[in-house]
Amino acid sequence: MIRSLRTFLGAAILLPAMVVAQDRPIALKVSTAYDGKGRTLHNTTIVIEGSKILRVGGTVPANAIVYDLAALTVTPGWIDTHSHIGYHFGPDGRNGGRGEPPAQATLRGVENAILTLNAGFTTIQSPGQMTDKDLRDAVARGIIPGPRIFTSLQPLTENSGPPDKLRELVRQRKEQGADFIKIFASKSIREGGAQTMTDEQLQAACGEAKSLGLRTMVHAHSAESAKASTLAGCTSVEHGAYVTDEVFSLMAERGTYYDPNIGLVLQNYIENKPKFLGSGNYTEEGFAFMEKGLAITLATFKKALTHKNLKIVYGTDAVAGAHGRNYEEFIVRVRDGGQDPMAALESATSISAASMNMGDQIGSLAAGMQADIVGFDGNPLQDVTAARRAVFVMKAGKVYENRSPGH
Amino acid sequence: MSLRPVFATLLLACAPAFGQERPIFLKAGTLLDGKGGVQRNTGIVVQGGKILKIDPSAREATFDLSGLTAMPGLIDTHVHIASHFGPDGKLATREASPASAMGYAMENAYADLMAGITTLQSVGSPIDRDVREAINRGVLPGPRVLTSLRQISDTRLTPDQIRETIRQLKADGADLIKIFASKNFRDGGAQTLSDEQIAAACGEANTQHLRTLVHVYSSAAIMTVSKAGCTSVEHGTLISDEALQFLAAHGTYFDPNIGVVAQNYVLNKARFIGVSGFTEESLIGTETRLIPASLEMFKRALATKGLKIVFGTDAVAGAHGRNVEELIYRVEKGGQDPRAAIVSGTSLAAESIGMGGQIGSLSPGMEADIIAVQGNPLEDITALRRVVFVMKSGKVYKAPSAADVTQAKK
Repeated sequence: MIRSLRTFLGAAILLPAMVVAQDRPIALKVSTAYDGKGRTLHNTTIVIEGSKILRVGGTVPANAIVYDLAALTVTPGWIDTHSHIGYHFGPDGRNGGRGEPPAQATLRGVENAILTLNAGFTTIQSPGQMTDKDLRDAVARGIIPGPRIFTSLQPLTENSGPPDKLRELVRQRKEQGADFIKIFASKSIREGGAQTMTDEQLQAACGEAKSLGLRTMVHAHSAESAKASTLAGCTSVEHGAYVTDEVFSLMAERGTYYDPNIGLVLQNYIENKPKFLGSGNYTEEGFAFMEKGLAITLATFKKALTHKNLKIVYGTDAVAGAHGRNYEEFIVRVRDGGQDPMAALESATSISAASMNMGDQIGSLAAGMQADIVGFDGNPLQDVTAARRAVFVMKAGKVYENRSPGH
Repeated sequence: MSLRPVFATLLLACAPAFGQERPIFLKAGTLLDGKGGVQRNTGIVVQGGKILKIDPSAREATFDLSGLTAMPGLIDTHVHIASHFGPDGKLATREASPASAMGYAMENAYADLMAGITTLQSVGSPIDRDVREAINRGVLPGPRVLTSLRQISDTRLTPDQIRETIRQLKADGADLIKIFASKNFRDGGAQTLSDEQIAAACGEANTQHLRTLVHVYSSAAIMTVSKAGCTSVEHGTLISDEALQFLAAHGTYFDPNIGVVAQNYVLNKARFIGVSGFTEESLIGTETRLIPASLEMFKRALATKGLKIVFGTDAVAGAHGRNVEELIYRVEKGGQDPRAAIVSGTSLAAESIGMGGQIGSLSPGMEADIIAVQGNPLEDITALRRVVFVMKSGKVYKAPSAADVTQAKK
């Protein structure tokens, strides 16, 4: 309301030229585009009006602002369903930024957001911390560049309380402005991943969330914790390093999403070991385990791929040091995990969008969808490393990055 | 210093590994060098964040700006980067949280950069330092920020206390000192700080190699400020011809702020009334008295030989991203020569902030702060509203669509 008033006043009094320019349609000339739902489009035009795709195909409107993306490979904006957007290395170079004023922490969060957007990710889900709210709202005002941010705010754990208390906390998160609920139902991979939350606690949290129209993302490594989450009707199982064929079958049958996080998070911890060691539960033993975790998570992912109806979403679990490299997950899934590249792309677009109940707004290229569009220098389906080269990034019809290939 | 060429060579040797070290070629249809010079159909070669050369023979174009006018990034010497409207739509006087305040400040910084402002001076808020340092890390898109952090306005301070405050500001990381030496226009503009206080402030700042920007409206106060060796006079609406000549004779910069700040108050009247002393009546005064008086004063300033008029907007909430309206107003309403207006927003502004050797003009060795606009501002100053390319220190923050270039050629 405020914004539209401002635009109106601007148009009426001060800035006719700029406002008119913004109202002009945008046309993207495309030679190869993947629509996010398995289809390939050739030699077409994507016409954008305001924040949405008006149509795919047809002629370039006479007054359109034209971007020629014929040298690029075009996809919907990618979605990272699991990114800790606020996590960063502080001024001391260490994880967490101990003693850092909140304003400085926010600026690091904005940095993460910009790096993520520039990497071609136009929507992320952060599970989550209370300060995500300010960042989400600042980006949502539409000026600061960043992906669309959804956040769980503070997660719930086995220590949050008995079932009734968990229900109350779910309601409280909704009041506080959470977009979904994050639940920790097992220990970390470093600690073996055993179930921590009771079945009753999970049923209370996921049940209450569902009744309020909120989705639930559950950190669950062991097969039993993943099974309990599935049976409790939770929306997605995160990590799931030790999930078995039996539980994958159950998840596929119940429509529970699976978010494996195999390509970025552990690799990033290992690359940045000195910056993490000694903070939180990052110990030498933990790191030794994470080294082993690479093979474990990869093997589990390969197992998951054999379950044809399992809905695998694209989450990276990005923490400090990983933001802006969210595409590495795609590379590992395809190159090392053997996933079909088109399926991996669908995972990062339409399937992730569906998992967030936003399949009708983001994650595919079609009329009426949000104009979240990325152009890569190269074709990520033929050369996975091209996923690292997003040179054109549009979110909600606004161009944030437009570099020539090679630069 | 002499090590630099060696480093440059080493970096060049492994150029492919460092994207930013590869030269960037810009083709420019028209180039304004920021010092009044104009070149046609030329090229700019950028490397390592700096301008390597202006080269008409450059063949390759990383960015084709051939249908556009390239010029130095603009320098707004007077903004309030932390000022914003709150969630209720009114001028925010209290922040919901430090994180929220920072979100708004970044928003202003981003809006200014996208509008072609590659350097700004904020006068100022304590949070500016975090903004400045975060942008300097090179990820957050924003102009180069210089800040006063706080202001000196307390008339009860002794000259010694003022000197001490200035040393403290320097220790806290201030780039310059902002001083309030007079009342506002609507209160008559009388001098508030004594001559001794002003002399202490600007004298100590000069000793500490800090510049001084002085909010001052009336002629007597303006001459005091100039005599005290302060760097620049801000606003100055009530300045007499004699005081204008005094500024010119003493080399004091003058930043009149006639085209954005008052108009923005009027434009966003409802958002200001009832906050920070703004009333319906005060804003009527802004519209019917301050705006015409500023314009009349500016015309006299233009007629003052040797007066160094710099570009500053006093941008507050609602004005960020519309900074160039100041230059458009100065030309369209004030009758300033467009070439002089652009020099005022580039090389002269750079000189006034002590950075004339690094920014504000396009020549070899300067920071690659380059913008491009559709049209030629020398022929149509409103071209400054159509910034389609923004580069700061060699990094591109806004790149044109193909149509921006070809349509401009038609």
